[in-house]
Amino acid sequence: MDVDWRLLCKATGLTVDGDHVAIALDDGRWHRVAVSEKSDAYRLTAIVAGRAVLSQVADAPIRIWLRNRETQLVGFSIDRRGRLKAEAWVPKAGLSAEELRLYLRTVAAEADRFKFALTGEDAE
Amino acid sequence: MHEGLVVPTANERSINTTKEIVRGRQRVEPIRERLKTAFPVRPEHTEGDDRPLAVTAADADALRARFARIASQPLPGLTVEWEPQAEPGVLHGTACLGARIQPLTLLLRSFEAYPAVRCISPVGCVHQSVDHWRIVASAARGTARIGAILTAKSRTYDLTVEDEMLLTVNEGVDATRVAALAWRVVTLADALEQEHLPGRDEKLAKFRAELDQEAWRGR
Repeated sequence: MDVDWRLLCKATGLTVDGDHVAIALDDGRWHRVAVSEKSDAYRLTAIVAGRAVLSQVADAPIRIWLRNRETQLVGFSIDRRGRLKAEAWVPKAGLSAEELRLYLRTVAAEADRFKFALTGEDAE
Repeated sequence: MHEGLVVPTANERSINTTKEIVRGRQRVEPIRERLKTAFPVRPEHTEGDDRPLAVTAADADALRARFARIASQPLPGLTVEWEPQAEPGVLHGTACLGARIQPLTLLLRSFEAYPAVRCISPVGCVHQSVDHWRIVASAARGTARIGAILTAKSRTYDLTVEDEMLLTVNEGVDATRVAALAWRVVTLADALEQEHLPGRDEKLAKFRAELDQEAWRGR
């Protein structure tokens, strides 16, 4: 159960900055993924859109919940600050560097993809 | 790409991602007749080395058996009463949460090269009668994702809580991983049911027929 996510990230060449990992996307863009440690899992989150952007999206909750039925590993929700975030829970048990990298890459890519679908804009 | 497969000109030739997201998935009738390519194929195009499959039928059988074993071992920190397995890659059960219960379904999936397990727990018919932002507020600190089903048909549930995780090469951690996944999903689903459908605590039997259909979603 005792795994250090920073060591796992470094083992696969990812750039760790405090509690964040910078994930390279296509076309030279990047998305930052936050990592928070829970008792039996790591919670990965990436901000998709802020409150101001989300308020311009019609039927935002339904669009998010429909997408959640289709996406794999990553889900979307609106936090208490009104931001749309992408999230994945990574079990610590049996976790490898390669698996963690796959989760991080998937969170960043899905956040980027959904932001484009909602706003037509690329990742932050 | 193939002869005879022509898109009717009256249809839109572009894809509007915004519309498609809202529309959800539709079942597409499979093409049953032999396809003929519209491009010339020379004999050398059909030659090549025989290579073994990356994943064999035996691998798939072993994976289904491994998935089925989830129901035969205790899940740390969570009691689940499993139904007899009726279909490979699908497990239905009921989680015991103190004095309450919460139905759940596990589905065997895959993601890239990894096997994956998706856990779905139905909340009930909620989102067409409850203000969506109330549901957002009650799930803001949630530990799994909310799913909605838009349909004109009468259903037993239109709101779910679900999430997914990968299986590793080490089967020894399956029970620990599945327990944590199922716990996150059923506790949020039960909390939403208590808040938005007060007085209810529905059993698996109510949702069973529609949960069976979940196995075919996305295939």
